[in-house]
Amino acid sequence: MKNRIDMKGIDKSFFATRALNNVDFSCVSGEVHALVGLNGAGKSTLMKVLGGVISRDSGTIEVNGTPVEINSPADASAQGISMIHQEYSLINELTVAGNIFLGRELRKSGPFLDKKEMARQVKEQLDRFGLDLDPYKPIRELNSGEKQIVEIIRALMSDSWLIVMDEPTSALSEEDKGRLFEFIRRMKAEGISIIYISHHMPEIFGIAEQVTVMRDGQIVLSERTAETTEDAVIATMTGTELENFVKPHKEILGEVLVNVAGLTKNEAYQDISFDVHRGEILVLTGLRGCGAPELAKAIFGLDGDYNGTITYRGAALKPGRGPAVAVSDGMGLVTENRDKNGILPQLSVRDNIALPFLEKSVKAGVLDGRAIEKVVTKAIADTSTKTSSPNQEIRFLSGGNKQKICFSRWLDPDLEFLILLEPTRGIDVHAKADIYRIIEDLAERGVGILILSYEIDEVIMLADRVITLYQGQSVSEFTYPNFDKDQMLADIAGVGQPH
Amino acid sequence: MADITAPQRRSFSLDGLTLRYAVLVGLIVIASIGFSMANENFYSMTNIGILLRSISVLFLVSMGMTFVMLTGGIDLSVGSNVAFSGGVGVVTLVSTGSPWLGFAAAILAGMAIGWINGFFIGKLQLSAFMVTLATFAAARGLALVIYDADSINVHDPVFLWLGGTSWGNLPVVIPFVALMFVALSILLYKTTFGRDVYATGSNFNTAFVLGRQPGRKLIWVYVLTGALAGLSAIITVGRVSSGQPWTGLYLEFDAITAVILGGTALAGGRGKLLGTILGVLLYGIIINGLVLTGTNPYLQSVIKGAILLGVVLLDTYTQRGKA
Amino acid sequence: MNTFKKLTAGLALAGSMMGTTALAADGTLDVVFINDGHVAPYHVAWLSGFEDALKAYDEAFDDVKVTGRWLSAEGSLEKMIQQAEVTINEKPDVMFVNAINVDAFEPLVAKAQAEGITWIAVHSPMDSADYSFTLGDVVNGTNQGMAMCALSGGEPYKVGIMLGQAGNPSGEARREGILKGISTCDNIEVVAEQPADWDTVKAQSITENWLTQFPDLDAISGVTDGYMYPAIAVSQNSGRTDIDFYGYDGDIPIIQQMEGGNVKADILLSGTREGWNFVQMAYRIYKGEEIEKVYDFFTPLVLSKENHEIALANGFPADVQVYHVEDALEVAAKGYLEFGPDSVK
Repeated sequence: MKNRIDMKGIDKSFFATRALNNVDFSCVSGEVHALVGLNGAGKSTLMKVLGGVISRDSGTIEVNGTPVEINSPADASAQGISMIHQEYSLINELTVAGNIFLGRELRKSGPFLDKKEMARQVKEQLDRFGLDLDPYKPIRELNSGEKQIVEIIRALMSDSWLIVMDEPTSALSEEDKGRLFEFIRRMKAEGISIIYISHHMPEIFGIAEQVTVMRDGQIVLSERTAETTEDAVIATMTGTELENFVKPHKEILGEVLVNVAGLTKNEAYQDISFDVHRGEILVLTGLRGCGAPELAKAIFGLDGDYNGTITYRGAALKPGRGPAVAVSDGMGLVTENRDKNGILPQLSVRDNIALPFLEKSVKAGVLDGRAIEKVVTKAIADTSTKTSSPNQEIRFLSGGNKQKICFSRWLDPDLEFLILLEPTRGIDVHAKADIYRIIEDLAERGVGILILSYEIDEVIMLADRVITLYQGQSVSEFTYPNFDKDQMLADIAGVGQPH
Repeated sequence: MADITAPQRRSFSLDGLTLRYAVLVGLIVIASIGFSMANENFYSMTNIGILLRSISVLFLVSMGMTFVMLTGGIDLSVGSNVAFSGGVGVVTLVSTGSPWLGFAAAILAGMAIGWINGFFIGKLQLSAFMVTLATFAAARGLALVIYDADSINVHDPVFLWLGGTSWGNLPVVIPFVALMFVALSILLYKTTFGRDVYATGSNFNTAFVLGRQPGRKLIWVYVLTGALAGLSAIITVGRVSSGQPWTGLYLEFDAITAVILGGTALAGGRGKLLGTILGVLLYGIIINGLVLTGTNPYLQSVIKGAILLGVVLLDTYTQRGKA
Repeated sequence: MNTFKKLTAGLALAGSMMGTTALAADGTLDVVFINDGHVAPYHVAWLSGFEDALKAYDEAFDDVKVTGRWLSAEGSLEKMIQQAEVTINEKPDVMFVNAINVDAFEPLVAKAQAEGITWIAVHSPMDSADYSFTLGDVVNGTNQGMAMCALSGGEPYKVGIMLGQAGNPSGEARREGILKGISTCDNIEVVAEQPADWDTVKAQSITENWLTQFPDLDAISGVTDGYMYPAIAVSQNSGRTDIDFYGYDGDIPIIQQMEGGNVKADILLSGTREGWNFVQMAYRIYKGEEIEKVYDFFTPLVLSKENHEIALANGFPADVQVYHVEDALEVAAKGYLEFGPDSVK
């Protein structure tokens, strides 16, 4: 049977802000419908209305032509609608099957759980979609991709026919992405409908039948993917053609700033050596688990449990010296997880920016508000961060603007070395271009930059030099402009030849 | 002026805290009018003096508690610490005869308990609730040991001055508390330490990665509350002209109530000293007024609880509306 | 017309810029009672006796309007001081204050007296107070101890004593009395003494510990009947029906368990009686009667008639006044029998 859902004339306002303006949106079973738009365009709000998380001001929702009321998440599930969240709502201590059957466990006669039968049913579903996963495995032993699969299976097993995925690939390795796409194809074949929220054009054009673009709470484009192009979609998203970021050509003339020699930490990385020059952008890339984040932590002084030496500005660094010393030495770090250890959610944009170099704005023992204001205003302008005022609490900003603030705190002239972990994770294309520009500006100023990125296109776009890693070993090195994308992909997957 | 913490001047931008302060001021006005209609004595200078003096210790302790709760912590030991540091101060005074040594001993003793809290919470990363629950019991026990479970009378006029003296109807402790408010406001809003207090409570991990040494800041925050407990002990001794082992009983709960009323988030990172001041005032006015109107004490607890719950509900409601 | 009243009015006139004299007008008696708590069963009875008595006196005498209220400091000294300060500012006629610590109240007594308020120190006597209303704790305790001697039957007899909060004067005095009474015979051994902080829950766990620790325990004595409820319940639930109880306070439910039960002796304070006694005392002061500066609340020992006879046979002094259960229950429930308006008409 073919199912369809139609949202018609949906309006939603928050105070004075019109989040959704007369939105029509439909999907039919067996198709992937990609929903794109910059952060704040209204995608999440629309999906929250569909999921019963927030109520709409006006408009109707019809399932197979019959109007339905969706006023709570329970109503949504009753209609067969499931949301897969970026933050996984799984319980770490339970098994795969335990999570899938959470709240509707199967019982033998009496109070005892029928674990065998639950595992069998889960296995059956996994097999149906060609997935290899042990139903008895506890969730905490799974990686991000596997957790996502468990969530989707849980949704399917509670008779959902419409699944909403919000940025499903943002935390996945290339390998897991491939597996997810295969899973999605099989779901389509089974008549499942998928709403796919993403910023990644190749993904969208790879799996979606229909693409809808939102901007400022309205639908600005809705087309079959076969009848439109990536550039057209990007153009409608931003309202203007995206100024393609072009890497400025430059020569690296600066002296060696950081030297890493024979760095080894068991199970994380082995015998890693490289230099970073002043003004150079060195990108480390690999699959998840390649050891690069651990390496970055060692250099920044968060982890002192390693062998080998790190030399900075000609002097050896004390292992595990702590971030306070690192910052006072002119090092900065942008972490991979904004919400966990990148921002200070309840604090203002101003405080978030000014914090690392606060001591510079102290006059006679007290803070000089004017000096701070100057730094902050400049930082906001330089990074084209969109905020109503520096007083705005950072938690109300979009992901891209939060990330820009994580960068903007390091624009101080005393910064000499900046480490960036996944600098554009989960942010839209527009913010991405801004961030690339900030990185280039810093390098131009002579800051040495070490980046970890898992996105190969980003690696190629940004790097002056690339080192590929596979399971903690460095595999190959490439220097701009001699980047060989295929070779890189082979190297990080562990199938390349060492050279 | 555009300092880092100046309250938002944009007109009618009713952010959560501004709204909260408006509500508190409204409640204070309503309560004052209500109580003054019920009892004409409410507005007498004497009663206002009594009211302010009775909450002077709560002001100090609650301001310290604000720092702690801004870091996302809690300090259950302050009440016991008031008894303990008072005991150390009084015993020092009695044995040396020097009120100045007594003051120093009281404040240092308060800081010592604070340092113990801070060491376990900031350095060893234990839960603030657990650590201060332990020092809550331990400091009270130490106080009982120091006092031998009995009170010690104090006659030294210098030692009693701060808590006991009045200029007419104005107890000297009130301008002293106002002075402390100014000093603590400068510390919280105009120094790097103050910014780090907010940063620590907002996101410990981020503050750490940015090199702000949040663990070390936590130690100092608890030492600060300890020092304020020591000061409170000196005021309390002056107020009752004796050292009492059971002083400060339930003080921590009153302080936590006032801080929460004042809009400081339990999770940390959000709140201001002004809110705490309003919270203490409201709390003090209600207690004073309930005594003046002869309200049944069984009802008094219900009223206090209802006000706290009401304000917290309102807060949750307005926050939800924003998000 | 009493001088005390006139003095109050005069002072209020002279001292007040606002000229509020209404509260000191003739023909009114305003009584405030500040207590350390309001949740223990004894307190509940006490406060309700006080309230009933105010009403009864107000109705019984046409020439005087009797008003009053009670406050609870909930165990906090600071709160009690604040309540006393606020109350003094209100200028009632008589203040009963059950001070958590008497030393702390010295400055306030002086202040109250300067305002013309009669200060009555409750339970813990104060030299500076106009009157002290005391319980004769040592004497009562001694009576309880001597009753234990007389009823223990001469065999070796093991007892555990639950004490008040460390440092509390009333509790200490009761303990002193009980030990003094017990020392009049040599067959009783005190195997345990433990403070239960006036807390019934603590009393419960102490009882549980003792029953395990001392399988041959003969009796539990307490400085308040509040401990007896859990002690009796725990003992009965664990099948130890042989344990005797010696209470203190005269709570009605405890006295009721005396006839044929395991409660052997109690001290008849009875909160209700004490509340009534307060108002009677305030009224007598208002009337200008002579009252002893240290006024002892009349608190007889309560025994069943049968046990009283046994005790007398075992050498219990005949001059100690004893109420038998029936009488005790009657006056405990009806405070007006002893202290009502009829007692002063």
